[in-house]
Amino acid sequence: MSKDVLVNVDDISVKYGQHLALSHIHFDINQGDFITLVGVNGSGKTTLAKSLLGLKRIASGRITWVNGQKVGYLPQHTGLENRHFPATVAEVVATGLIKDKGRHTWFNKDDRKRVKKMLKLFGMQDMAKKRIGNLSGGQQQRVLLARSMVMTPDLLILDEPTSALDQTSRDKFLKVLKKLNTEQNLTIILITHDVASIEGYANRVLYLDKHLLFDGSFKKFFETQPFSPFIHTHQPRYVKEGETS
Amino acid sequence: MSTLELLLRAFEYGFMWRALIVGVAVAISSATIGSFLVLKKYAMIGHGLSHVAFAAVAIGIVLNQSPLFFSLPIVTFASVIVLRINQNARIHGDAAIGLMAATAMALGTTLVSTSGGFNIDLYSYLFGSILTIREIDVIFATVFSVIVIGFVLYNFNTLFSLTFDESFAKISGVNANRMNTWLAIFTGITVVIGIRAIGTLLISALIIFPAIIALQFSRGFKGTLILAVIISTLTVIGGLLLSFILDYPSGSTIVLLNSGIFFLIYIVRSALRLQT
Ligand SMILES: Nc1ncnc2c1ncn2[C@@H]1O[C@H](COP(=O)(O)OP(=O)(O)OP(=O)(O)O)[C@@H](O)[C@H]1O
Ligand SMILES: [Mg+2]
Repeated sequence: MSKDVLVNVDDISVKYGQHLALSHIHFDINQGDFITLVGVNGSGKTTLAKSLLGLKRIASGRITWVNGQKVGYLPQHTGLENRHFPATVAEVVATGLIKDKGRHTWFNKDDRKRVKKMLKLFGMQDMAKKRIGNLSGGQQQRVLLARSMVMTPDLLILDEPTSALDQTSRDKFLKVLKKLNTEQNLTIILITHDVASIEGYANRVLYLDKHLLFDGSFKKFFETQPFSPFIHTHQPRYVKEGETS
Repeated sequence: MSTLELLLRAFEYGFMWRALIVGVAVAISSATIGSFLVLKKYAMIGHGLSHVAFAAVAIGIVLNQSPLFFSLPIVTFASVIVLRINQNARIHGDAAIGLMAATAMALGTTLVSTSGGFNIDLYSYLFGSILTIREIDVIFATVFSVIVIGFVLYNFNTLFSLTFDESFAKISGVNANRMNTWLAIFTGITVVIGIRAIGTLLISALIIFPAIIALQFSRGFKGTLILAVIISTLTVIGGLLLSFILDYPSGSTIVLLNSGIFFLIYIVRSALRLQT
């Protein structure tokens, strides 16, 4: 009861045409949660993220946000469609400030400082003036991460953020996230295929397969979903960990 | 008379001044709007609209109405519709534009043939003729280009965010639909005010070329936009003066100047790349 609810997801279903991608999903996101959202390919993880962000219309149910939340989002496919798009790294990161500064402001010195600081956090300070299309996939992903973080979000939704990062960058990145989560109470939803790598960082697992099949701790997750959740050798059933267990 | 004398002579004529003012106004609007269209991969919209403008002008001439005022609402409306179609994933946007362009062209030529065929009047609308520019065109073009500049400056970061990544812009609170509609409306108006100086069939080139040329040089977005405006303005002024000296159609001269610059850059760059 002491936890503050940030978002209430109430029995939502989402469709693509006739195809049902999410069915009757129900959960709360609490302030300070570090959630990892797992499931097989096509299980609806990205769809759920987009629904939360209002990028995908929900067919039924209701999503209720506590007022005035700033949400950062790293999409799954960060690869640029157009490598020749004229945008410098600094310009891209600065678009993350629009949410904060309003749609009509021009950025000032302070803003440029914030951008620089963020690039430094991701080890990209030397690339500020480079064209984003000239960066590698992993570097581009880090730039887009910086764009999501520069707004100092209340909630960060990351769709497979570590898929293009090398081992060192990934560990560093997860540590940064954990630090923001514990020290600044940043709420995080991290979508991943690699449950093992995220154990020790996240504190709550949501397991999705069109339906929400599990919602609880890592410990309980590995106990109740003994087979790899990515191989359908068992009949999954919904488990919600009790408040006291 | 030497070329220089001829050039100086140009500035003695009222129509030349009117052409230069309208030309610069069109250059600025088309380069700015064009940069967004090219980067959003909507460049073909300009091409489709120029054909619609041709049909609208033909209808205007047949009905004995002012072709420009007649085509303004038609082209702007078509622009908004085409944008919608492009965003609707179920129809192929490029195919839709191709269909629209061909239909408009067929309609236009049919109308023209029933009313006595191509004449000087229509020819000037097709490829631009600076002699036809009136004061009202000057006022309209100037006011409009100021509005476009104001719009872009007021919404600069939003427009950039939207062009780079529409989803992210949306979650930043940008109303993508509304901004895209404004862009479509401005595209339509740009095409129409470009008719006098550049011509219906060539205006799309002035929407595409400056952005494409600027892209060769600038790494950033702001730089690209500024460079596109400079290139566009210089080629329009240069093209208008050349067309006066050589007595060529103004639109054709301006577009050829742009093509020339583009291919020159392309060749130089390829040569440099071969050397290293
Ligand atoms: N744009 C779309 N149009 C039609 N169907 C879609 C679309 N996007 C997703 N789907 C369908 O919705 C379901 C959920 O897709 P989603 O992308 O949310 O899965 P995911 O869990 O993110 O998968 P992955 O692990 O591959 O990223 C899939 O069956 C997919 O085929
Ligand atoms: Mg996905």
